[in-house]
Amino acid sequence: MPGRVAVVGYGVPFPCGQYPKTTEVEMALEAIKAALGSTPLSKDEVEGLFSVATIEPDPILGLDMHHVTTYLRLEPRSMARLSLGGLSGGLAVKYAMNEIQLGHISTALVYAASRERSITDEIVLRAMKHRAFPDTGMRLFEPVSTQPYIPFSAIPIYALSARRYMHESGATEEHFAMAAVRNRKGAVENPWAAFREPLTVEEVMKSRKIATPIKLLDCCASLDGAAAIVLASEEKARKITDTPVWIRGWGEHHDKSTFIPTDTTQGSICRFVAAETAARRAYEKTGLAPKEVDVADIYAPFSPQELILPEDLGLFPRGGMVRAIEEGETDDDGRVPINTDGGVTSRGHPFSVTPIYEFINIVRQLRGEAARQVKDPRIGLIHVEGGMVNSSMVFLLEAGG
Amino acid sequence: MTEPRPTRGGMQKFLKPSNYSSAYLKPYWDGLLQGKFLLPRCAKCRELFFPPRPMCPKCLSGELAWEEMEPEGTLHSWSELLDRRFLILEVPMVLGVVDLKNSAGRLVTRIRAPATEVKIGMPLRLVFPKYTHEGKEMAMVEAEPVR
Repeated sequence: MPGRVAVVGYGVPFPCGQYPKTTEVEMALEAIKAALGSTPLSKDEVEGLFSVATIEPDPILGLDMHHVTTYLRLEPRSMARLSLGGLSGGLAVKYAMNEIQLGHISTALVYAASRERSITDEIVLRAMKHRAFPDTGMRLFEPVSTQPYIPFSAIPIYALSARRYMHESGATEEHFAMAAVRNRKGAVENPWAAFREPLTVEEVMKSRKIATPIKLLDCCASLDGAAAIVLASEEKARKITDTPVWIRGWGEHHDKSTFIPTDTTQGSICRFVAAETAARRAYEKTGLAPKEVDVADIYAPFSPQELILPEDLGLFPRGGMVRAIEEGETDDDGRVPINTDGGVTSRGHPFSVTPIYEFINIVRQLRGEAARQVKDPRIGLIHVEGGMVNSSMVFLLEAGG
Repeated sequence: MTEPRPTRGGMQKFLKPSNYSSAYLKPYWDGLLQGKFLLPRCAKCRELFFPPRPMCPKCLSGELAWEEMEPEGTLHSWSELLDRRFLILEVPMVLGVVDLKNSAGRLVTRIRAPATEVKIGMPLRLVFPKYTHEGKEMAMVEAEPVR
């Protein structure tokens, strides 16, 4: 039986936003410092250092972690940089847990720093100046040579899933707007959320149509950000903190598609097999039941998926989220509070940092120190995804003491 | 019926003939140009599949035969794209997910009808409009409502 692993600290050095005049390495240093500062650990006690792929200083060799260890004079005995789309942050946490449970290390720092927004802006501006948009024909989701009309953007793909959900469940665009508004309530009180102005259903409904039924305020925003968490073995955790948050276990699954499942006409595109299977495995592995989940953070890049995913995760019956969102069952005083610090749509979405933000939200809830605190939660659920939820991980955490 | 519009800007970007040069795809694109919807069937395990791949996704055999399919399907879902920043596509445009009739797979393509006239579950016919780019004629596969 492997030993238990706890989250014992976290740090977010600055709000999610736009940081054109820094580097991802500098942002990483600040996140690591902030997370260490929340524990009594010195930097020399960091035995494992784990992160996700970055763009700077170079995306090909990926030597950013060497810059970090150089700048901070760190000598970890285990290090890894993991990358699999939106799932990357979840994989880095899993890798850290594995290393601790194998007895290779007793402490781990998992960080993510991203300037995806500012760097993209720079690249696009430069390309426009030189009239150079290289087109290799290999696009994100499918080469143009097989399905030329599959867009480069994720928005239309999620819009297709949303329309199908409306057809199957009777949900309306107002229901999606309600989820965006619920997320915003959390972000208003979250100091590192990007969007903190109060929001109404009417404002969401009136916002610019992007790809129907998705409107501007249903969307996440690609932004810059950085965050880190500290993990420790049970023995070490007891020495570090009185309020460890135990990672009880996780489930993981990858379906056989990239975005829309194109090699089948079976199954619906508004039901995510990877999320469903990952959740089932997490419940089986931990012996916990969906009804025991007291608070959840869900990786939903667009508000329609805020309704779909809780059903996949077993938190509500199929189609049940329509009524649940109407009746406030996912608000912070509801049956299963979801995304209590803003979610992907209002917190801001540097995709590789989002899973770390999610861990921090749930850890804060389970320690009883959240800005919008749920009443005495014991079990927290974190869902992380990549693709159009083609990859999923579900972590179940438990308040310690 | 909406006629294909001239390829200003948008569409042109994915009509680079070099993007379609993988040898295994030649029968598919040649077929479209002749107005035929050809799909690969594995010579070993008989699996019919879409989109075309370099090998059978079921048994990994590289021996593929091409069969002409009825160019029909039903609409699984749709979205009207309105933001002009979807760089490669003309807007407004209705994008649809088409369940192919023979269950070989799902085609994501332009639905040649206004958003007010599309409905999930409606029968669709595949059409193969021709475009010229860099002096080469190419055919795409799109879908229109069956009337």
